[in-house]
Amino acid sequence: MENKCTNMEIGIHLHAYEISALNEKMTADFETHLLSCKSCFKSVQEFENESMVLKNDNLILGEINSAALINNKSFWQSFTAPTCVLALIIILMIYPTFLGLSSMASSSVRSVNSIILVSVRSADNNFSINHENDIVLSFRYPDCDIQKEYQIEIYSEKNLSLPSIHLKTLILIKQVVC
Amino acid sequence: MNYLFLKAQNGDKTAEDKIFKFLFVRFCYLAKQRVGEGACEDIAQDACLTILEKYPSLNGSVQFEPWAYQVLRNKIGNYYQKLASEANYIINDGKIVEFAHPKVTNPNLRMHILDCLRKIHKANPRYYQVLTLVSEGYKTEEISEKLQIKPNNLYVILNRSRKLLRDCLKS
Repeated sequence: MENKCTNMEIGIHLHAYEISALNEKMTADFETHLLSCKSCFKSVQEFENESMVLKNDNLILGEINSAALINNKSFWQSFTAPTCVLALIIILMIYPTFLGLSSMASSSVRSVNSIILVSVRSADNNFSINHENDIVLSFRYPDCDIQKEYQIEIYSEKNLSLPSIHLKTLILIKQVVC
Repeated sequence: MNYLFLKAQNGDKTAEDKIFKFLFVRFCYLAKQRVGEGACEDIAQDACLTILEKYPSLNGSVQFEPWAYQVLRNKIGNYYQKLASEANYIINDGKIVEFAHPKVTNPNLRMHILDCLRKIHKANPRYYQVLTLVSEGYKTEEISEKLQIKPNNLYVILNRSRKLLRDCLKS
């Protein structure tokens, strides 16, 4: 006994045939297929009573039609007066919060909390550590971007630019310590 | 089927028996779908007799299954013509004739199916839409257009729902 459909291209029409949803030509093709396909014929025979009820029973068709109508209700049709009022109240409640959040998010200028000098190497005698030509600084700038250029100026406590270590250069942040 | 047909054409009686047993069951089913239970066996038998008479002289290029199916369709057509002529006579007599004999639904089966359909509706609401459109007379091409899906997807939806329905009814 064959358990599989002999021609799936036609066999796929099985339930459409059972509920009479196929056009005349497709019905004829499927019925011709039934003459040779044991699997489809067995399926159709087993489900005969159920498919008759699905096709012809007025009570079932009535229930199906009413349920499908409720399901087909469009999005805008679901908006009644109470739901509109409720939606308006929710929007009015949410809007101030949204404004506050957006103003917080828009502040892009941030102050540097602290700068920590870790070690200094300079060729300048007044600030000499050794005789190299560069200095190494470490500083903390929360939320800075890696690979982005920042300009740094360093002054003395009396707000005087230190001539010996006057530094006004573009630096590239390569490492961020969190 | 074609293999059995060729054997039967060459005089193999066992093959011939097999073909007609096979065909008769299917013809009965197909006729029952169209004319109801009353006349289906007569029509199936009539179609089988015609096939038995004509198949030995059938041309080799003719495909057996479509030809046999056409014979059955003709027999069903003849039955309807006969009914129509009788109906005319009865209507002239002032009586009403019912062509279709709808089967009375078993109330338990109906309620069982209804329960299962409600369960399926939650999982697959499209099945209800398809059944509604079918009851309004739409066919699969129009239904797939209306639901904006490919016809093959529609068949898959239908067969899945059928499986769910069958499983639910079995349980």
